[in-house]
Amino acid sequence: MAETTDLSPVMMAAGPDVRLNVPGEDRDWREVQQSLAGDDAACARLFGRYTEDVGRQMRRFSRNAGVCEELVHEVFVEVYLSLRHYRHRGVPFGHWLARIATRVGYRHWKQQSRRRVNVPLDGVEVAAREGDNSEAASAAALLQSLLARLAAADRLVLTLMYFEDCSVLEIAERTGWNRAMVKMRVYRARRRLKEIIEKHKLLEQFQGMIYGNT
Amino acid sequence: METLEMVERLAERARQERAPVVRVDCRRVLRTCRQERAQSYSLAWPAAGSALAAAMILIFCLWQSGQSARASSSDPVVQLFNPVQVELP
Repeated sequence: MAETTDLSPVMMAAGPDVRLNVPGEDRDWREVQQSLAGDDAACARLFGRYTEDVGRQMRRFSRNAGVCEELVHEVFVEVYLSLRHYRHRGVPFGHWLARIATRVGYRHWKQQSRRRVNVPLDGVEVAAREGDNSEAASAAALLQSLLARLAAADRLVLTLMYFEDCSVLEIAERTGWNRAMVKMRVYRARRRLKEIIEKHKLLEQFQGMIYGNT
Repeated sequence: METLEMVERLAERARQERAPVVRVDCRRVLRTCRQERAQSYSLAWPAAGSALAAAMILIFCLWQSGQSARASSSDPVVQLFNPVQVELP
């Protein structure tokens, strides 16, 4: 991705995933330092590189485009405010940012659970309302609406496991919980999820989506 | 196929979903950060000021009680109840 020197008012997500790119880490560190010194253009470049990653992650916390953008904004605000605590020799910037994003998303769910927002259990219907009729979108909508029936902590571990393909260790790193706690939560959450699926008789809908008979 | 195995397959399908384009206004992010920082400073100063005032009042009270204790020790009535100091040979 080409670097821009000006402070673009709107950063659009683009470019490859640069989380594991080692020279990119040095570039991140340099731009963190420049941002801390008050260089807004460096900050815009840094955030611009990670907008796609954060956007994809926050979509797992809300499928509503407006809410998702607001969450991404919130993540970057939190990142900027904690930038001086970031240490280059610990974790890559992308991982550090992913932890903050997880925290912001989790907080959003907790606020939502206080308001008792109900999500319909029909992935096809939800995806169609969003204007995306692809099978992957329907599957994602259904899975997210199912996970929304769980408690926020259970929902978080399963979201990271199913959508981000995270291992127990990675979930523990992202959430700050210990491994035993994550294992226990995953076990309980999966059992609870199974109960919900069986209660609502959703297996047929699953088969339709998996084998493409929707 | 088991229920949870089905969920795994569904998740595999869900992971293939195309993420929509997200826009972030960097200027808005920076503006929000500066506002929040200014707000936290404006809240921090009165809090620090009131904590300092409370500490000064506490020190004054302690000093006052010390003064009054010292004054009362010279009072003959207080001296009456003071333990008698016996000087050993």
